[in-house]
Amino acid sequence: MDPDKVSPQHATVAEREKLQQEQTVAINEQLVIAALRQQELTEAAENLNQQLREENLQRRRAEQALRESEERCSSLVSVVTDVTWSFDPEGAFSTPQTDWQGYTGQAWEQHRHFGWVMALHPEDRERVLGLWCAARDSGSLFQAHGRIWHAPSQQWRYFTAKATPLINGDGSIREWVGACTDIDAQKRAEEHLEAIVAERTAQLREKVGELEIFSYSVSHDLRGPLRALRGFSDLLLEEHASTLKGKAVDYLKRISTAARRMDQLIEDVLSYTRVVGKEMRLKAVDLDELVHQILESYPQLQGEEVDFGIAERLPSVLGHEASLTQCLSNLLANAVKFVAPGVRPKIKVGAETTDTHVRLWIEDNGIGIAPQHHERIFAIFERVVDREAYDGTGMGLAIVRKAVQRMNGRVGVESTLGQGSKFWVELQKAPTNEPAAY
Amino acid sequence: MNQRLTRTILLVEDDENDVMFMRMAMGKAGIEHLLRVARNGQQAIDYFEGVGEFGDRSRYPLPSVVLLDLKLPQVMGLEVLKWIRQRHVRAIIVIILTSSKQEKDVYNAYQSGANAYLVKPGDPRNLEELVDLIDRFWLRANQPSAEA
Repeated sequence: MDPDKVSPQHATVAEREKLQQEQTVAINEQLVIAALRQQELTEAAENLNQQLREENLQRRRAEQALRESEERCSSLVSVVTDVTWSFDPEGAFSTPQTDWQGYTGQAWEQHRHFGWVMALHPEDRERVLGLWCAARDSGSLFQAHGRIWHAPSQQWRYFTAKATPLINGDGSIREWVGACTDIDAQKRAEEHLEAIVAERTAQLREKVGELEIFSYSVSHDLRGPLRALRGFSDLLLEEHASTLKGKAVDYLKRISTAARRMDQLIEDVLSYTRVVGKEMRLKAVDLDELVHQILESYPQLQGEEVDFGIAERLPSVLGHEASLTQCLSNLLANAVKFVAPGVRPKIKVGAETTDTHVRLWIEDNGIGIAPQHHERIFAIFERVVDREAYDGTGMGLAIVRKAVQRMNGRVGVESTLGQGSKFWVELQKAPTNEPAAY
Repeated sequence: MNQRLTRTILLVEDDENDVMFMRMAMGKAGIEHLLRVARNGQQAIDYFEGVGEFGDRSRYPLPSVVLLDLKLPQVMGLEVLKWIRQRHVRAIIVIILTSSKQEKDVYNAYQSGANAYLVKPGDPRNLEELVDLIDRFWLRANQPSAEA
């Protein structure tokens, strides 16, 4: 007989006890398992609670951060701008705009829909509205400036306005947010400055005008008496030399020389003032062509006595042709003139090109210039050699420097006394593929 | 105007010395007898209109060449030039003879109808050369119109 199937009534005492024991063990096991499960559940619940608490904390922190960010943002906006507003997608005010009302004094009934336009200066309304409609229709950033009525101060004030669309998920425009910034102080400062500039410019124009009248007068009037001085002393020398006694001939020659020199000075000063005042429209100038033209057209640069070595194919520069002609002919004439007696002038002309500039140089075998005079020779009326040995007015290099400066260039010299000189002129390179004139 | 032009040269010049140099230079070139002088712009206009002292056309014939200074008392040289051109006296050769080399003067002179622009030389000998050139080119080589 199967003991398990034996009913308790039929089981022996020992059997019943064993059975009871076994059942007790099983119950105990169940209890342990249940206790363990309960502990697990408790722990899980606690974990969940903890998690919830943390999430809650994080959310509160995030909310705090958001509030702070919004506060920061609105503070920033209120610092950099004066009036903020929001439009519906049509560009109308559909809700009352507190800032707008505060600034313009327009009540809600006045600024609602397109009523805001009336707060703009009558002369600005059409233009600003046009700009706004264009921005609204294209859905792009709106920018405008004009005058707006400032109710607190009862005056029109200059402003700039910007607005940007806020876009829905489907790409449609939800609303526009914008801001007006009062730039009245800057604008008025700017106007004041412009008025000052205009006034100074007018004064300067007047001075330039006076200078022009002066040089006109010099050009026309000062030379007449000099012509007479020179003319009559020459006539005396030619026609009455035989009747002149003692040093009279020498004195007359001196009068004539001085008059000629004065005439040259006037001519050079006029050239200088022309270079200072002339409007210079820069265009591409072919140095190769120009240098050869100068050599052909200036008599003092011709003849067997001068040995010229011109580099092949000189580049083009951005310059003013007439001024550049004057500069280079002055430099070439100097190179020929300032040689030691009996020395055949040997002159080399070449150029170096960088990405942006061209440096043209003229090298001679002349008397050279001591380093302490390298700067001085470019000043007006400055001469570092005796007039008896080398005639001149001291204006040639001053004209060169002024003209080169007016062409946005530089000029300089490398030289040692007795070793020849190398003068250079640096100008902007001519733009490539540029038409001959613009 | 429609009057006969002669080989007369009218010098419009206010500087007494320059007039004298011109007289001497023309003397050297053998054409001094062709020279007539107006001392200012108004006199030049009077000369053309034949009024006042210039009323006698046999003594003051209409010139075919005018040597015109720019800076003149009363009426400036450019005004005289414009006056001549406005009267449609195109056949008259107007040569500017001035001290100025200023581009503005040169430009305005040609714009107003000058035929040539000469700068007064500092040396009287150069003036002789210039007069010789004027004589050879404008009075001889050039074919003038007989009528104004």
